[in-house]
Amino acid sequence: MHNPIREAETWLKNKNPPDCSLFIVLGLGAGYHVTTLAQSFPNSAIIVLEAHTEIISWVKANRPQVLAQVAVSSEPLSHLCKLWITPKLNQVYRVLVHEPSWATSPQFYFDWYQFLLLRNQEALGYYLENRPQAIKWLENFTDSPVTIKHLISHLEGAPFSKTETTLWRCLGELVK
Amino acid sequence: MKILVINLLRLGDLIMTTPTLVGLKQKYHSCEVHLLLNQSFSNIEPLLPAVDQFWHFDRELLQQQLADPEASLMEPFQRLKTLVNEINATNFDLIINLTHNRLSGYLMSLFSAKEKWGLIIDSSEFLIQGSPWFGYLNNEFSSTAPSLFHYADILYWACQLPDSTRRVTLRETPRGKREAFELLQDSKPYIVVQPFSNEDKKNWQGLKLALQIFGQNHSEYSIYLLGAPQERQKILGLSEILNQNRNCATYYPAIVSLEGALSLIHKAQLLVTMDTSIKHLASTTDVPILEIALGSSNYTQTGSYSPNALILHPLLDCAPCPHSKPCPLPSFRCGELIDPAEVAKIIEQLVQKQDRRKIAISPQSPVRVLATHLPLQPGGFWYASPQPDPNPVTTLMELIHKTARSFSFNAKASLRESQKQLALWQFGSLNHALATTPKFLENSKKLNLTFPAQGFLLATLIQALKKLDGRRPHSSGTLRALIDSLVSQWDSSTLARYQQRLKSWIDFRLDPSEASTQKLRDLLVQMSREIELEARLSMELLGASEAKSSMRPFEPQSEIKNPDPG
Repeated sequence: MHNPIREAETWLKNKNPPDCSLFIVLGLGAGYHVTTLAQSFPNSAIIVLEAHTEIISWVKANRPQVLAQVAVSSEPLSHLCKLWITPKLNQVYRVLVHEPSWATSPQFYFDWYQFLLLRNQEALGYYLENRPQAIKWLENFTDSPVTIKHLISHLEGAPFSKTETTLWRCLGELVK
Repeated sequence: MKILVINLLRLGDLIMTTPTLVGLKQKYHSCEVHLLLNQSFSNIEPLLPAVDQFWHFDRELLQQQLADPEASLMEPFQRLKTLVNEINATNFDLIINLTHNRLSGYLMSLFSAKEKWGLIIDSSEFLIQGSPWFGYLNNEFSSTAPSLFHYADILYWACQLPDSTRRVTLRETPRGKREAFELLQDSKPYIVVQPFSNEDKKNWQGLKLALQIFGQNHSEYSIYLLGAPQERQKILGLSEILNQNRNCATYYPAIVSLEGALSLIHKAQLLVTMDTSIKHLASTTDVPILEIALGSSNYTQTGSYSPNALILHPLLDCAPCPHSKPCPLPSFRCGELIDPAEVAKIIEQLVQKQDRRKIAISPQSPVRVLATHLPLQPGGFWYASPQPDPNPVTTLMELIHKTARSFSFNAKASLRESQKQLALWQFGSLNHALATTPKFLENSKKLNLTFPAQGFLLATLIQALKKLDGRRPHSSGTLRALIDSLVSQWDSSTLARYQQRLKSWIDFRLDPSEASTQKLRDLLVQMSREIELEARLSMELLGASEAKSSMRPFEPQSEIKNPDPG
């Protein structure tokens, strides 16, 4: 017999995320996994991105307690959305995919996923906002995905602050 | 006062930091000592004294996230940034970097504090702040080269702590005691053996046979084979093989936590170990340690910091080898040089409480046995002396060089005046060529102006030893010639100062016996330490002011006329 709570617990167990101040969940579904996540990490903020507004409406009507705990958006990846979410990424966050939801609208979730993982040129561009020299420097990353080694090898002339550059250098030492 | 100590190395290195942690707590009475360590070694925390708060660098998690193409690049970035921000919000007065790698250098430039010591990498520029010992740690402490000084001593001096006796300090925990109590199977005296290290090339294939030989003759002992939970299968397999032989010692697997291992070792008759963190753990006790230093194990840097250890080290050109590279030979040659029967005999001698100084193997053996010595008096340092000593004069010379070198580094730490630093540095150098250059002359004059007595004594002692070192054999006559040479060069005030000591030297009519040579060596070592101590006391009195010369300047004429090509 289908047990959505146990399924949600298995989902979280398989993801095994470390403690983060923000979780971004791709897919709301019936919201059981979101509730489980919120219970396991009561001090973390949760943002859920859901492709279908009808699903959000259903959850709002039938399981309103889920939405009380999280911020939900059904906006596809757009300039406005990027502006909304980029400041929120200035903390330790983890992206968690709800696979059943992904299957219903792969392009919606893939776009968000790539952007949130900062693994492509566009995402880096948004992270760097309007910093001088960013556009020229981003030409180094036309071939996605962006890896830490790739990024470290182009730190010279990068539009990062001194502190940011040093933080990246620290991380670069960990993959040598 | 809040102090943050950074040590992002492994378990053994953390344990070797304990003399420094305790020293900091003693020097700055009301200070808070915080320690930043790798999260994966947080199991050491219950054992560490003198730490008020631990901070964790989660290296494994960061590496995992960086390598995972499914994880955000920003996650490790933000995680690290959060750690830096939290540390900076604590407002440390002093941050000390005891890690000699780039990662820690970059972190240091991100941390803010009133004062920072150690390696800092700021915009790709390498800076060493604080004591010159940090320079030694970062510039002269490579993985394969022999080091003049032990890692624990360098850390201690780098923090400019009161020069006193020191040793590894760990505290037993109730959990560890309970674990050890539950593990002990009988009331027999027991030996603890750590058979496996984290690298294959540091393991010794002959250990099983050595334990079998010992066990056959000593059924009155139990032998506990120590291992971490991930080594369970290997430990169980080894104990099963060893227990196949009846009427011998009993071999028990001992899969315990670090806390349990410490409590188990506390009551043991002996610890036999490869180069592992367990040898450092045991250094807090007086339990004898037999350390088998193979592969990349560099005993000169990180040998057992124990008053009661013997180290077995094969004499091979390639030993110690680099940490990260596999052994290029078809088999581990260094381990093959060690004879299991000889090791079984040493184990027997150690459990029978024989005088450690008399335990040796044949001088023809390709393996060296070294006895460890802890600093027992101010100015002292850890060293490992070969047994039997094939060349007492060379050993003595090495010790005097060490004394001179530690003297010069500590002098630099106290004075921070570049000219004096340079002058003192040269006298501590092992490099013969330095003594023949015009720079040496210039520097020796500077030294004599500043510290006439100490500079003169050290220089004459070193030169006399250098001259004698080339002669063979190193008989009692050679040693007496050394003394005569020294006495003839010293003026009356120096002679008066050391009259009592010199009298004992001169009265010491040497015979070629081992005992007399040992006695003379001990006297000379003591003498060299006294010189260092005096020098340091003099410097404290002098402060930064100029000293007035009370002795004739020393000119190394013979060295200049007949340069030593060495």
